[in-house]
Amino acid sequence: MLIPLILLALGAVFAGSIFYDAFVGHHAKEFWGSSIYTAPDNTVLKDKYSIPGWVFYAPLVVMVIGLAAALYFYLFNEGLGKKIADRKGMAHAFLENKWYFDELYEIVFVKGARALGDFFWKIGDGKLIDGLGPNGIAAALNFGSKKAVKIQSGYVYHYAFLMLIAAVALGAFVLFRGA
Amino acid sequence: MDTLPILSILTWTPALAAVLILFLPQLIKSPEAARANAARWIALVTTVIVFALALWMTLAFDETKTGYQFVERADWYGMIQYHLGIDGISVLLILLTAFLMPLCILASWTSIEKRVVEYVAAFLLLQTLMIGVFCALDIVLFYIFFEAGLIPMYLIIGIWGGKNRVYAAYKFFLYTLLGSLFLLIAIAWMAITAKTTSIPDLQAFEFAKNAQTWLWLAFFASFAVKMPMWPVHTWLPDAHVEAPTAGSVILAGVLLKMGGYGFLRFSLPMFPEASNDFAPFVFALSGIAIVYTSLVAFRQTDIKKLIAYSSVAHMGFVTMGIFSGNEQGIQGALFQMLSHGVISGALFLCVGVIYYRKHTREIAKSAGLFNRMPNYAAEFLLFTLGNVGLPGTSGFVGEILTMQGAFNVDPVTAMVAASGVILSAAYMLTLYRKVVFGVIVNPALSTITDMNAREILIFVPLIAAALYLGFQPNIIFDQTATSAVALVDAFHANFK
Amino acid sequence: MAINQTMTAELFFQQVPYILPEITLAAGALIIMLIGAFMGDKGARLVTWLCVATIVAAGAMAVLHMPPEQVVVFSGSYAADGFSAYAKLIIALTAGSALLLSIDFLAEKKLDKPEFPVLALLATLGMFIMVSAHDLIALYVGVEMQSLALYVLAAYARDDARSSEAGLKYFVLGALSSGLLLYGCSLVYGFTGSVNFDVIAAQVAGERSIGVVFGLVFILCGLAFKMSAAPFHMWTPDVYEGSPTVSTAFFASAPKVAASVLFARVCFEAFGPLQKDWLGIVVIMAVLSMAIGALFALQQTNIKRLLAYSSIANMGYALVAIACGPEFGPKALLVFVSIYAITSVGLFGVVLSLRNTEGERVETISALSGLSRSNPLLASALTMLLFSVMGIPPLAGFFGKWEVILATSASGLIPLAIVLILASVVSAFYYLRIIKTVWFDEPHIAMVPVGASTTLTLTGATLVLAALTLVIGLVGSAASIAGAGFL
Repeated sequence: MLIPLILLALGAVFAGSIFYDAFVGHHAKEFWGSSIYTAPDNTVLKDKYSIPGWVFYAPLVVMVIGLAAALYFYLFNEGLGKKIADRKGMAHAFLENKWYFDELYEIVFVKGARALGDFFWKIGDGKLIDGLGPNGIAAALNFGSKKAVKIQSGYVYHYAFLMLIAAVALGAFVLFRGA
Repeated sequence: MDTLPILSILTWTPALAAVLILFLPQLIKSPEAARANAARWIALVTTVIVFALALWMTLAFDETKTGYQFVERADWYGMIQYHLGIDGISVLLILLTAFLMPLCILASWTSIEKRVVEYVAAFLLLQTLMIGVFCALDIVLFYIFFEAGLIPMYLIIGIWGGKNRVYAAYKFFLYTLLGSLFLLIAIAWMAITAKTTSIPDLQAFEFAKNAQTWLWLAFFASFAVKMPMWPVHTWLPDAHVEAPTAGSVILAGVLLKMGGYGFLRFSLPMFPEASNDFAPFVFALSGIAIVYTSLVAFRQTDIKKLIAYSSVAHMGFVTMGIFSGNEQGIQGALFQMLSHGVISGALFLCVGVIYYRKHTREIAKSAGLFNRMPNYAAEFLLFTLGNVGLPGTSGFVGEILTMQGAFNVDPVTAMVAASGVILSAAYMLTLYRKVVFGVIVNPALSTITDMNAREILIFVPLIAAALYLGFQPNIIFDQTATSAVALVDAFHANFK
Repeated sequence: MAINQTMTAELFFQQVPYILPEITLAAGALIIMLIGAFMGDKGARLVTWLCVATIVAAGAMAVLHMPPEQVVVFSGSYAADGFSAYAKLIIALTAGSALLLSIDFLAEKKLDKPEFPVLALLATLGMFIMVSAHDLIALYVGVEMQSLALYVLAAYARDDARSSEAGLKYFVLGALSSGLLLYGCSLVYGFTGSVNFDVIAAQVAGERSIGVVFGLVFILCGLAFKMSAAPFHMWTPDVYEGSPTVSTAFFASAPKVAASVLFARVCFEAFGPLQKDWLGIVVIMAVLSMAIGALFALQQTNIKRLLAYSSIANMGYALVAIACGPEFGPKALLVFVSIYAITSVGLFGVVLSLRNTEGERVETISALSGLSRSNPLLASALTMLLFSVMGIPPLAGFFGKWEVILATSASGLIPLAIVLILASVVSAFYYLRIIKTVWFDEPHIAMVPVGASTTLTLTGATLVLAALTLVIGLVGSAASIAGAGFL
């Protein structure tokens, strides 16, 4: 475990200075060749020389602060980290729960997807599409047909009467239409 | 070998085998079990032969030529002719049908116990009708094969299906019938106006623009129900859930593709202006379908219903690709149809494996399969990821191409479709986690056995197809390119 | 041949060959009736076979002696042409088959008397006259001859109250419709001065008088009754249900062909110039018939009643074909109605094949439960016939519907086609319910095999239907030739 770590540490510290020139320095053009296309109005490689000094040194400063803090919490004042954690303050909770992103996703996406899914399934497919479509039409037809069948009463005089009415109605229809 | 009527042979061989099988009771006066066995073996041999013939035909197919090949033509009834032929669009769909059938027969080997003879005969008849749909070059002949497919499917769902099979069978039949009857009126009008029922002639005929609108809508009514598109998709979950395993495989694998085939063969070439005008409408429906049904799939507790809704979502990609009217979209749609046939078929077969053992499709009752069925878990994972569209599986190619095709025309729909990919990952991975991983809670599962040789035999070709198509999609595109490009060119020629 | 030409012996014998089919039937009826009278009840089977042979011979004669162009004989009252020849062939085949179906049933019920087949033969004679009628008198004679025979057939089971009720209803309502028919004929005669179709057509082409139009309406009402077209259909369910099933089998097939063909002839030949007037009536009747046939049948549990409503719906489709006019209508009508008649014979053959273990006939749909297990061949035949009636390809019934829809597209009546398909989908539900009962349900009534001639006829009808899909081209060309004469 230790030897790989040492190698990686060396690489992490020195890789930047070793490869700086080839990647983004004076020999960048020869290194990358044609594999990266730089537009003519892209001057970022030259502009980096004109950034203010504090921008250049800011990462170093923050790193040193962080290093110092880590040294203090875990080397010089051992147990401090654990004591802060045990107090379970809000800052600690916020950081421990990864800024509550998981809970946010859960509420917005997961519960939202579930709610939408249920809505589309039960209301959309069930009540609307099936209700107005196959199930609804079938129920309506069944109802209409039950009511309509009652016309077929079985009595000859009903039938005869309807026949005569129909004949007269058709006659009237033709009269009023054709005239 | 030009004079060999390969298409007629492919189309009618299964039917002849079905007739032979139906007369088995008369020929073999032996116990029911022997007859059932004979029926299964005859069917298996027939479907394997048909697959070999289809494969030979695909290899003999000249992908550099436009137009139709292996054409057969004979007069039949007035304008209607017995006219068969294939091009790049249909040749692979026929191969898909021939490929899935033996697997269906194998899958039903032990799971169907009663009335095996009729079951097998129904499947063979269905195969005849499906192949007929894809190679018919006369529009009425196409309609005959298209509609006739309702009969065996109705019987398959209704006789050998699940608890609610009667409702599902009726719904399937009547829904599809209504859409198709509108199609019939449109066909009749076209036959009168163009004085021909030959598909190539109808494709060349220029219909008046306002006629095109209502003709397109009539054709859409039928194909939208068949695909199925939102909002006329509700028959599919019921039909899939209640059908026997092999029935679901063939329904998802082939029958749904008839809708997409219809759009490609009829709506785009015959009604180009109308297709162009209605494209935004189709895009909207596709986008809604993808998101809506994916969300619904997410909430399902029945595995089969989940996969059924997932099928609707994947068909949304197909319609999106077709109506983008460019080569990527159409090639993508064709590929997606083929890939979905393989992957969805495989998924239903996976469900069938569990159902056959424990007669349950509930996710809750199937938890923890990994513990006792490692082989099953592995291949189920492959198809899960294929359904999600992981690069490397065939599912990816179709989705990326259709989205690309759609993006050229309507970036918003393409973006909505892309979100569908995320949603499919959500429901498929959730399904996989709940079913395969975790602890076994259902005591009935403690004795469940892993896949046997027959089941592994069914899945090997599907795995091979899913992976090979994922890594080498060009074998598909080489076959379809000429026809797809010809379709796109002819389509755009109308708008110059 | 001029209408007022005096009939000489020479002319008479010139024209006789054209009515050979009718002469065969009439002479046959008389001779066979005598044979039956002398042989008594034990001769019933022989008499039936003789009648079938006579009917088939008459049908064959009609086709063989078909003139290439329409020939009108006997002072313009009889028209021999392709249209009537085709119709007579179909009538003969279906009437003969329905008669064959009757043998076993009547023998069981001890109703096998020679009167039944002779009455059927006379009804067939009436139908032959109907389809060849070229003036109003012949029309009326044909209609009445057919109807009177059918009234008796409806009441044939004398000891069964339902049969008597059916016969009486049919008779009373039939008499009413005949009254309407005759009244219409007299109005038309009064306002045109002639009963001959050609003369009437010439007259109404000249001037359209309200009297003639009214007469037309009443004639069509009377004919619609025979055809079971709504709103004159109300007798159909009750009569079909009450009559002995073999009579119903007879009613449901050949008379429908005859009535629809006559209806078409009246509309196209006699009243062709008044198309605008009768079109409205025909459309109303078509829509009502399709709707009622589809809707009312949803509630039925008795097969015969359900088939009655199915008949009404199918006559609605036939009316749609007639509505398409003389150019596209005749061919569509002939194809559709011939396929329907064959299917009808088959369906009643199936109903006649159902007997439970007590030997009783069963008529309810639930009795069909699980038929696919107890009698797979019968179940398959029934399934094929039902899918044909539904119009599902590849069965022959699809081609009938296709012809009708093609005719509507050609004549611009697309909305009517839409009503047709909507009715078809609703009807599909109850046909599917029968198929579901046969295939999906468990059997709970044991079935007993029936007699040979029923099975033979049923098998014949089903095989013909199956074969029709392959040879539909022949049927189509025949119908084209037959229907071409009305322009």
